[in-house]
Amino acid sequence: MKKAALLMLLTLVGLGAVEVKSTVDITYEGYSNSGVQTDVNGDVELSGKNTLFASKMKLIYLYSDRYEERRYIYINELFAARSMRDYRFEIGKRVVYWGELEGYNITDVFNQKNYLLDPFDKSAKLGSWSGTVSRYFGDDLFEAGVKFYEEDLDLSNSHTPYYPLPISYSSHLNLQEERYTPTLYMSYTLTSEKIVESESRVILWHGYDNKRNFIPIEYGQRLAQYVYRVNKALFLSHIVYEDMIFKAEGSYTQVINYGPMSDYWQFGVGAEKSLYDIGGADVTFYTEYYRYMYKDDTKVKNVDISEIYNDDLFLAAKLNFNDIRSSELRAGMLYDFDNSEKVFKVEAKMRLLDRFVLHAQWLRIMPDDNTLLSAFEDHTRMKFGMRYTF
Amino acid sequence: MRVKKIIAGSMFVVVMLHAQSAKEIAKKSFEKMSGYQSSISETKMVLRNAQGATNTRKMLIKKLEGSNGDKSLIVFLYPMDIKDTKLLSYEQIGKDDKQWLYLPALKRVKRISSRNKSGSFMASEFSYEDIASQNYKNYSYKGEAEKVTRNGKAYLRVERIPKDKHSGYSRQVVYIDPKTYLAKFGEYYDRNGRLLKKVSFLKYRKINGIDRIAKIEMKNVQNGKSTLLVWEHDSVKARLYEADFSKRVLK
Repeated sequence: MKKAALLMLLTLVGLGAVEVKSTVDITYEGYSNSGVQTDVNGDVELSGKNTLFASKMKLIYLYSDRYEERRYIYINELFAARSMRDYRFEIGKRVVYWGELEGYNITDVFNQKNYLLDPFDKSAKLGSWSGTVSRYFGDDLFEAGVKFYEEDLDLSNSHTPYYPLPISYSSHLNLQEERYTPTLYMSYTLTSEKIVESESRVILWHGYDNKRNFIPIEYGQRLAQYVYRVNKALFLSHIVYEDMIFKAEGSYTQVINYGPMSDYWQFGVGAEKSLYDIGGADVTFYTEYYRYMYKDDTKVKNVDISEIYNDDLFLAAKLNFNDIRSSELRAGMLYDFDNSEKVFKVEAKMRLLDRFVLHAQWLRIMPDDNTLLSAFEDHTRMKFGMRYTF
Repeated sequence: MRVKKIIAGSMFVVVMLHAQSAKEIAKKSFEKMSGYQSSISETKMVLRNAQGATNTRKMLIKKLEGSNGDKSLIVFLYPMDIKDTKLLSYEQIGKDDKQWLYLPALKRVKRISSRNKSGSFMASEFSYEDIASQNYKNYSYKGEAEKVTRNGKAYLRVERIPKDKHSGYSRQVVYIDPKTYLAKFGEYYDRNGRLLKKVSFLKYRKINGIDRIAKIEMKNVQNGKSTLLVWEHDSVKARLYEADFSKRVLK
């Protein structure tokens, strides 16, 4: 894999014009239980293009002044892409997005989450070694792909906020088969304007599940992730009706030869409505509902953050002030009907001097006893930061 | 007395022969700017708030001319934190437009509401309908273009009413140069009929025989903000095709 990375890097360097974009984000974080910490995180993105192909490398880094475990620097994306008429090929370490909903994406299963950066940030994802072939039929799209490597997954250890496990964790992955055993998928995206304008996508997946079990290792002293194989069918769709956008995501996962885990269903539906020019500002409202169901209720549960989203209602609003600083305020609430659990999040940002963005976030978790959410001991978090892009 | 009547009658006939309907003038003005087939432009947008503080945006704009509405792809270049964000728009005359936004941080292509006409474009004083093609078919017109004089210069005053019921404007008054048929300035009224914006088409240039706008200023008289939009580079007949405006180009 290192050789492949080196080869890709050389390929990138060989490109004529290379564009560079970098971000440095300094964030001060305060928690209800854990001590305060200051993070420096960001990325360096190199992208190039010549007559044959386009290429991109994205290096990401995190430095926490308090927790050694939350320090890393690595290449998160490194891929080459080539478009030829109705075909597009991509190969390398990639991050992709499969989703329609705003609060939580059931179908966004291609990449693992970057739990070291922020378990509650859905954009924090880790690149996967993979390749795809896409064939366009007008606005419709057929895509076939393969993930060909499963990497170890780091979690912050037990001293850091939001560590969900009762004992310490080993990042070394345990697999049902080999790391190089491929995961295959194919998808078809269909657009229609017959009755209403809609776009729907079906994805069939065979290989390792993004949801993983935890197993004891070293005589029960530590826990490690166990990766098992599944067949999965995913569906995502949006419909545009007048000034509303309706969205749906769903999946069914059949576990292959791994007894502890049950097959499971997930689905989510939502709607989005925007109001423009309200005193110069734009407001968008989001309403979503998520459900998670196990085929066999007696098997292992609550091992993945996705399982939080069961019988949950998500309500949110985004206020865009349309001022010269691009000020934006977002507020959302997740309410669990089963356990009356609540999560509140408020985010604000504004631009300063073109290249700086000031941002702040408040997160409040109100869990019930003995739930997955209650495993996160820190229930309140405040973040203030400044991001510099150059 | 009889002679006076004849002279007055003759003058009326002459005026009638030269009077042109507002729609005709609007069509001529639109046609002066048409025929570019496709274009690639680099633009700079300077946002100014009521206190005079400014902020700059830069964009690459690709457009494809269409009989039923233009297609456009806007790639944001500056500020750097929104660099590579893309907005793909299909204008559809008589129907809601279609718009998709590509968010590079999430790798997400997001369909956005088609009725986003009056919303601000990139926090500027331009709304989405202001930056659309200004096709004369999008408006209804009343009567004739009125000859008026402003600052010692003659203009044809054209009043137009947006056909789209979701427009942010109740009516627009556009002043057109009678020699070139190019719009020079205008006044846009909000849904309550109050003056909302004053637009000045400050500079045109001819590229390959086609008149192209090079500088526009939009002043919001209600909030005191203004936006200057400058085309720094512009090319027409740029050999762009339908495929250059499909959703695949967003990624």
